Amino acid sequence: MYSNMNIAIAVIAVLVGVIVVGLGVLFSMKLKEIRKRRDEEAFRARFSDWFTYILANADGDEPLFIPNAPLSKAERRIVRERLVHWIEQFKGVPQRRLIELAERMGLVSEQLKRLDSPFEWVKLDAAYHLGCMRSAQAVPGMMELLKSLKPGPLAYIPARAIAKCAARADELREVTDVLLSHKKDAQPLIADILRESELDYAPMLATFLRSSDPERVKLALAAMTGSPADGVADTLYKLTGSEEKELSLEAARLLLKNRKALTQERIARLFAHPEPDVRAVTAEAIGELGLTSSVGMLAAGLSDPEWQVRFGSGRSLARLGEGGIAALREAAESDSEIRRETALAVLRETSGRRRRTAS
Amino acid sequence: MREILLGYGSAITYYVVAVTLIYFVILFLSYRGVYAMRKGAAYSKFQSLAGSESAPPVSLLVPAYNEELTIIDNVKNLLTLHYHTYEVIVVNDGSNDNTLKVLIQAFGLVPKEDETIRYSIDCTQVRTVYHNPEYPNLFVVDKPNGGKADSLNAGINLSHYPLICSIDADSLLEKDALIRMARVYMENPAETVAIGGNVRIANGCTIRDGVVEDVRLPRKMWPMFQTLEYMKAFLGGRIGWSHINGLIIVSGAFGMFRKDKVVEVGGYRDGYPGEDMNIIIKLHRHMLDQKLPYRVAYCPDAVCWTQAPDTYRILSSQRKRWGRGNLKNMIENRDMFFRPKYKVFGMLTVPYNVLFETLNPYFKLTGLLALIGYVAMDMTKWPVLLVFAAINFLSGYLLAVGSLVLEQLAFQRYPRMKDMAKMIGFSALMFLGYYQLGVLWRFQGHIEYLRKNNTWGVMTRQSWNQDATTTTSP
Repeated sequence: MYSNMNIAIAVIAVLVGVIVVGLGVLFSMKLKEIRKRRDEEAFRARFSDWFTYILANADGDEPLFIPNAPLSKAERRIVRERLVHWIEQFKGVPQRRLIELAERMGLVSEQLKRLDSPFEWVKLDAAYHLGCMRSAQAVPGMMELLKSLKPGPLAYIPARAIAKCAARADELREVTDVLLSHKKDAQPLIADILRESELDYAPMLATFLRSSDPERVKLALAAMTGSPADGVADTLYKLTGSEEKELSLEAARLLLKNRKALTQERIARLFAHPEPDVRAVTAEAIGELGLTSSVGMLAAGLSDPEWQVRFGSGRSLARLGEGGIAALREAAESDSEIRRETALAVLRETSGRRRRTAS
Repeated sequence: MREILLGYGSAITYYVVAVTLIYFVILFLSYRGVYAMRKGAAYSKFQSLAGSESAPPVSLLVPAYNEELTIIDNVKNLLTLHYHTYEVIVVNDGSNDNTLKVLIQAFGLVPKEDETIRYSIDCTQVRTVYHNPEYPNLFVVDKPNGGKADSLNAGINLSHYPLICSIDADSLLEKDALIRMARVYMENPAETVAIGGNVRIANGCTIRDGVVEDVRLPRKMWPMFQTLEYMKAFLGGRIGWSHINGLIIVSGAFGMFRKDKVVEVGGYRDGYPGEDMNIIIKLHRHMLDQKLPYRVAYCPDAVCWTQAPDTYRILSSQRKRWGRGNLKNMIENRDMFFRPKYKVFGMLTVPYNVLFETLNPYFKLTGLLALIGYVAMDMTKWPVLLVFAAINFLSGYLLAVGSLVLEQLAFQRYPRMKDMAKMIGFSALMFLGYYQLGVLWRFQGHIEYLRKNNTWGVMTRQSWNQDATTTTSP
């Protein structure tokens, strides 16, 4: 018991010691935070005229003035954060002028030095700010940092920064190579990072699309979402035949956005695709694009074994005017139960919508 | 006899020390994990990502049972999130009050006849789906009462997007909460099956138009205790557990899931509380059985503000329900206990939960009683009892301080020095009754489980404008 009590008392002593240290740390952090906040408010008030001047003249012709008074470290940080915020918000001339101002104030060179720090967190902070200030000079250092990081959330910080600063397409390619090597299926995020670049990376996407590496193909498809590059329709069509469901579906989705690339033969092939999701998006796209020549194909789709293809076909028929509605009415009297039920359901939906619109 | 009592009491003291050490390891892992989480979040462009088509579409599922006081603010809050493509699906779970009526009136909803629900997982048949084209991303599902899990399953069946997000009807999301969570998903979609958000207590905060405008600590005692408890659990615990992929629960108040995986495990379990823990256990089991790489992540900067019970009656009812849910989940999944096949989850998370969470009241209560008995037989040994109490208090208090340091280091949500002092003071006060009540409530929850009581218990909702209250008991 004696030894147990002794151990217990030692444990108590250690706990009390650590608590005292913890409370000390906690209060000092809080005091620091409060002081920092107060100093920032005071600085903002003192320099509010200068900030207003910068904002008002961001798109002017004259070079922007630097504050006359020398700035302390904390004040430089506040100025940097404010400029970085505006640089990220603006595009074109104001953005370029703010970057030029940041360079003249030595904010870029300051961060370039920090990029050589032995501490990872300092380098990451520097990479983020250099990215915002579009420093092409920083790309090699940031690339080195990117390659030194383990796969994970931190890797996207220098990657995004490089995309913002890259002056050459091969730098973008290198970033994508590193991120894809992490094998995280993060193509949508990498595509979002690529969109930060002012470079024309469509040729790179086109080569990715033709690549035999499915990861690259997925990236190209993710990056083209919304606006498929010109001249890739044939490659997309070829990809719709991919054995990977995700690839064939995404390729079909992109292809179906490009009306010019949609021949009757291609639509027919997509509508007969073994993958139900591909058939469903095709059925939907026919209605959206108003392809009245495909009424017969959609009418046949009402008998598809998959419900989403049947309903997609029915809804598209309803959008194709009189011809489509006539096909639906005909199907509503069909002997095939599946066909009849789909057509009736779509006709009910359509009349419900009409009633709502009328009321 | 005295020796037996002393031996048992000493063993329990070591048990307390062991629990504390484990907590410290988890806290240490939280410190490690929070670094990457904070850096990744601080340097991400949420503003542009929120408007980007690259962000995956999400279906927000809001089960609502007698939520007429909070539901409108909640839905308004959800409809104005900063996110590219998402939908809000409110599931009215056969409410006895005017939940459905107020929703229909506030948003001009009409029955949507052109909606086809695919019942990919079991749930009560939906009566009507309401919609208004002026709010294209809002759907209200009306169904007979079937419980929270059943409502979530109905929402999943109606949902149109690959990610689902469960949100309590008494909770408010910060505008960028969804994009912050989606970013975590986008960083590793190959492996992410679920992501937990950070739940904070809104009592005491100023809320306008469904937005938390001014963060303040609760004025009342019970919500104040819960604020500290949540901070400790979410920051000091869940960050650490997620760091080793051992997270056992994603709060039902705010969690994101891959729909295909939830459907694969059969959706939420019906008919018993603790469905939020249950779904995570099922996902762990499923992925480990299939030998697939996966992670259950946690995103502490995706914040959901929730109303904490502010009376003894409601709080005790909630905690008993949690106790029942925890016990039920542990009994149902006892086969995972120390099974190497289930890796960190089977070897660490489940044993930790069984030994240090589920059985905690029994060990602590009996240990205390043994030492009281020992001292009662020889009053000169009173220091033994004092030492037991001191170790209990100091180890718990140190963990509380550790969580406060983590909060200050990474989040700084409470800006005033007064807040800090209040949190430090209340962290100590919690040992003078609140923790003991927690042990008692858990014990009572276990008794309720044995009595086969599987009701939701008493729940009160208070308007975010704090001008009306209502009480319901399903």
